Amino acid sequence: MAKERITHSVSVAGPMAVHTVDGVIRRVRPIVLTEEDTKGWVIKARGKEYTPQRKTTMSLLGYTEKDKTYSYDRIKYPMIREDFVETPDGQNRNTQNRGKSGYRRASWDEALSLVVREIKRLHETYGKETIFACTSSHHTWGLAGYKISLFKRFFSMMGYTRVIDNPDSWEGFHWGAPHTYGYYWRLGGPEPFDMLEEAMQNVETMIMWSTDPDTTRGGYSAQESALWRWWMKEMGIQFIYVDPFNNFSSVKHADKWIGPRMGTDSAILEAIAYVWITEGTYDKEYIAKHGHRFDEWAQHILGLGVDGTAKTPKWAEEISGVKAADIKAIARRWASTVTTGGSGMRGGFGGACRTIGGCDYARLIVSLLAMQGMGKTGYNMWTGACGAPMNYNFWFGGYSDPLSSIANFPICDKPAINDVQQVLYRPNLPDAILDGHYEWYGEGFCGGGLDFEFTRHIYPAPGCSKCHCFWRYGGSFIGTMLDTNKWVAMYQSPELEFVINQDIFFTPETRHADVILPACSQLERVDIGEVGNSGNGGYCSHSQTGNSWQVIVFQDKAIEPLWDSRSDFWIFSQVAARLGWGEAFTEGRSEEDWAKRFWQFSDLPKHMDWESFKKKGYFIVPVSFKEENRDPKTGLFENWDRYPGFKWFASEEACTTPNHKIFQEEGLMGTLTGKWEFVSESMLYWAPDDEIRTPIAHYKDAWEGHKSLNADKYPYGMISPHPRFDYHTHYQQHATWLWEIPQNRKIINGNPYLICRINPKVAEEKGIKEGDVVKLFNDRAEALCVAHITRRVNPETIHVYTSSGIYNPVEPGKYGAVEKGGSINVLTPGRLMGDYIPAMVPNSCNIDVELAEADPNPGQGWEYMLEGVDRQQNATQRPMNTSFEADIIFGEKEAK
Amino acid sequence: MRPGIAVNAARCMACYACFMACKDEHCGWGSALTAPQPRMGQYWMNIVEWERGDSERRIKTATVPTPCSHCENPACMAAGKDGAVYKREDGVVIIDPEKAKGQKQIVDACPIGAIYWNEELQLAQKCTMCAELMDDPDYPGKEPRCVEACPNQALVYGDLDDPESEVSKLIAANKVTPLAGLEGMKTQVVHLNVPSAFLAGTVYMPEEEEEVCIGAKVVITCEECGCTYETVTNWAGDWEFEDLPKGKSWTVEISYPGYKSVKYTGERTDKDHYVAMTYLEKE
Amino acid sequence: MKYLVHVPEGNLFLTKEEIFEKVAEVLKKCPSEFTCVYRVWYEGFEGCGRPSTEVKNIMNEAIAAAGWEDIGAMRWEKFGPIKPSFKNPNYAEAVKERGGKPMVLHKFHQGKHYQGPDGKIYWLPVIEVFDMRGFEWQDGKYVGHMVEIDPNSEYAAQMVEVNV
Repeated sequence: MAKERITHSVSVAGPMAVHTVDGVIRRVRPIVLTEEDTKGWVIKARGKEYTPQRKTTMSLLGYTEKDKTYSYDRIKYPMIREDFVETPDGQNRNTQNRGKSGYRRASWDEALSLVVREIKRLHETYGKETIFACTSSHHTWGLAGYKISLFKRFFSMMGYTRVIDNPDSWEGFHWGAPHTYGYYWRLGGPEPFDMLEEAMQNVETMIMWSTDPDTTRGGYSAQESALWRWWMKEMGIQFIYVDPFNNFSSVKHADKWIGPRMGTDSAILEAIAYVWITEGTYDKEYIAKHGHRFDEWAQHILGLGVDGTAKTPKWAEEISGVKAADIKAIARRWASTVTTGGSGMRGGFGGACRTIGGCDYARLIVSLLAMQGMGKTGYNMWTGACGAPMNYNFWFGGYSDPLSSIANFPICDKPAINDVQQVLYRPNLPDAILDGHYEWYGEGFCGGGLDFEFTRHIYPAPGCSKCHCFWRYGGSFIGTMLDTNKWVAMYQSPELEFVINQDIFFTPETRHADVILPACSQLERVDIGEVGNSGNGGYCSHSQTGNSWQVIVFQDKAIEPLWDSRSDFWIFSQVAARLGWGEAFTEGRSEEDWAKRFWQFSDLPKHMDWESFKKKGYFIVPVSFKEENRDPKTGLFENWDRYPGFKWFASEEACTTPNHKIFQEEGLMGTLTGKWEFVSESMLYWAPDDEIRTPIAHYKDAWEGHKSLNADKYPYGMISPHPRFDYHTHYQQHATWLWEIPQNRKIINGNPYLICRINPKVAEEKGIKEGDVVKLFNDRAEALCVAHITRRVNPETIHVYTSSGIYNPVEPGKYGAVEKGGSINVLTPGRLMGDYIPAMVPNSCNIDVELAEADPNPGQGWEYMLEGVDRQQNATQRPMNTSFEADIIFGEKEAK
Repeated sequence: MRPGIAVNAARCMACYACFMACKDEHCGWGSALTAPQPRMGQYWMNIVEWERGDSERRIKTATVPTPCSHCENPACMAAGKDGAVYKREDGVVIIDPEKAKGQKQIVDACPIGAIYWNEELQLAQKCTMCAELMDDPDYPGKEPRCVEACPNQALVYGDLDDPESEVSKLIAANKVTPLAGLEGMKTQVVHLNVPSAFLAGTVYMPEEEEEVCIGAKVVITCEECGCTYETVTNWAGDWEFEDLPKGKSWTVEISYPGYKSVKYTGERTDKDHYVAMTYLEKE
Repeated sequence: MKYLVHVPEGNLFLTKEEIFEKVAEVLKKCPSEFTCVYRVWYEGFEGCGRPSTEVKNIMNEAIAAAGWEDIGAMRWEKFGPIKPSFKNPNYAEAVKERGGKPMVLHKFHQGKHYQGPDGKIYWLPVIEVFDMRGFEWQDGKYVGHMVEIDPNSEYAAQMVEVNV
């Protein structure tokens, strides 16, 4: 065997061991534990013992890392748009051609000089706030070199208009659930702590509502929680799945699947409450003690409220299409057995919370969990992801942790503070830029308080100038954000005088830039990070519990940066230096020096010195540091410090859970009354006139749905949940191996069409056969997909995964035009959920489907722009093993 | 040592980690045992998937990882000329990357379609059970790449000759379900629990009652051999018989005290079949 | 003069004196160092909807009359900035009366600096029930490693809040 070097890294797919041969990546493997590594935990449940396998896992995406790193669509050199003209006033720059024009290769000096000249010009003309910037959702991983760390340090020091993110994966739980049960500091998600053991020992029924944990893996955990759910399935726990798509977890585990019409889940939940109230099968004592205004809500359910409609199972059947008898059966099973379930953050990221009624849905599902006494042993909100035993007494930072940023104390010596107050909001960025004026409520991620949901924003902010320069760092929101054409229109607007795109890959957004700065991947730079750790004091803390092993990784440089790419740190340092504050930016530290700071300010030095950690590459945190917690026979940990989520509340004991709030210590929840609010006092306090998020959560017909104005014309509801074969847009375009998965894509005439799922009844009516190219369309656009005929969707629903990654429009930005790459967000509404709720609603989308006659523009694709670049690069020696040479893999060759 | 892989289809969720790990190992990199796999177009660790059920009321999927089975008497070996395909002492079947050039008949000989044709190299290619890695004392892994990648223990690797090995124990404890085309063949990739066919249904009380019927007795009788199975409807009114013999005709009888019994005849198990939503009528 | 106080059980019509009594009762049981009219209203009264301006004014008077100190505006995560907010000047004694064991976040203010008996100054950004983590502050920088401080230790008991 050739001499192989093994380094380690971590991504949203899990931790990895990277083998290299002579500076070329040979393979990417999971970390197989050795005798040196700690023993694992053992859960003893129902007469059996369960312990994780002695290896870490990765989702399939992790195994594409090599394919992705050497991808044909890596940005190889700094590039400048061919028809970009550096006019002194920022006007007449052929901005209308963004997304269409090709690029010419530039040197780093030329590209950076241009960037710096433009920054200076923009600052002088408009002020600092004219540059706005945003980062991706996890296109790379590492505490030092990305997102809320490096990005934040650079832009805060420069001063910029921050683009705030919406909680795009769990909207309804973020904007809705806190008004019933608090947990705004966990962004609407509950406390999953130690739920795995509790469920395995106690639960009889799992309610998996709009959740597909095998696919979404608890956010950015690896794949090992899948095994826990097999354990649970095999011990006889009944699984009930509710999702318009009989999803990939459901089709394997469900004892009962029901597929309601999209956006009608709330009606079913209300009907279940009706059964419980009329039959007296809820925890009356718990509700009397801990519920606020339950009786008023119960009257509403029984038909004694203002709408005078009893929420009977028959009523719900008419709305949802689910048989009243089936609803009753589920209601009774739920009430008569020990039941845990729900959906939402770290549980499912399901589709229902991303509909127009998503807030109602989220509030109703937590209300129902309350009715069965949430927090009593075995009764909780948890859907089988996260909640593994964890050592909460070991502190290591996560990506959203304020303590884990090179922009903040204690990691840096002088924190970076942004002195620009103006902000923009991601879902409506294009509206703000195109209209020059935009107003909305809310801070995006409102972990800081319920009040954050209701802060009023206006763009441009008083005293601030408008934004004329977009610095886009990493990943593509064309693909995840809604109404794609609006994004393209923004890019093509002369309002944007200058667009910088700094990324690893030539993503759909990259090709709308004026200057492109090629960053290297995380395998080509040094960093440090923990698998799945979102931050112990950050967003939805302690999410490492999505894995069986708590793994901290020294993300060593496996290979040198490919082509002319450089680390993001290098790029930002260069710009800072040319702007005259390079030394202040780096504080004299190298990337490794910064990485070491995260080791230094954590608990890790107690267990491993820096050199040993670097050499070994990872550290697995024992679930307990106490020897007496081991099973003497096996050495496995049978005990650890347990802090089961929400138990403190039901048992009325002092709250011990991690990431707790001061009022939890007083036995109160995060609502205004500290109780379960069946009539929401926080809604009455903050926005009593909100028509979408009413004080009583209940089913409402939606402005886009089966009863909306366009439903006759576009009779099918399209659901587009989080993808199984991608992570946002970060893999699909780059790792072409993914295209060979039949459930994902089908290559026809060189174009990798995305799969859409259509019920046989619809297919028959429309004359569509398996594997046909079909057109999904509404007034916004048309998207070509390949039909998979399946009974896993009901006849009212068409399923396509969101976040295509590939955006291949025939006419970029033109409404009504055809999209061939599978970016089905060309079809989804760009409108926010409600006047007060700045949430996006991809799963409220009416479409029609037809057999597509033919590919309207065979062979056409955005790759033609790469060809120009490719010609230039052929003239140079490529610094890589030829066996991975980046053939353009579109075209006839692949059609076979 | 006779290395083997048990494929427990009951645990596979088609996450495609094995598929990707295999591509990661073999695409673009060859060894003495195999030429490099092309970047696209070959699926040495193919996952065969099919949807089970003919009604939205009951749908499952079968997902069966199907690499080369490493047969005892491989059809490909018989088809290959000049020792192009050989069986190693440990039983692993290898296509010689030199000798097999131009021999397309090797591809066609495989009864399960696990061999692929490399147009560029004019070569038949397939899974090596990562023997090149397992042979290498410097390679740190202990399992073939697909097995190592499996999060669910749906793929288990070990010594088939050792009755105490994990793989042998798993095979002994589960139902061996040979792939179509390999019945009666001893193979070193052993498929377990590949589903055959189910019959299922739901029993309801009379329609106006809007209730499922829990505890109804359901008896099915094979119209050919007369064997019968019995169950009762569960909390959801559902009944199901899983893994029935394929291609038979069945009579289904549903009874519940106080209601007329219901009988269905000629229900076939050619495919997975949802018989009916049965609404009972009072006697 | 009677004022409407809406609670889940129905409408109460209370005199100013009755509201004063009710507020005093709530504050007596209140384990917190800080409060404001809405905390008393929602958590204490389990009030429905916002209190009327008159009731609010009476309640504010009542809180002040109960000996709580007006500290001006304070931001509450649930209510936003509320003026006036109040601090219990007798918090330490109130804690003793309730059994002497204040809970960890009631004892330490998260994100503030504390000086230990050995003169070392720590920033305490991580406070959990089961442990507390700080960074040592020296000459305008954080130095050394993350430090674990047992919130129930003798050392922690002697730490005092300082401004740096």
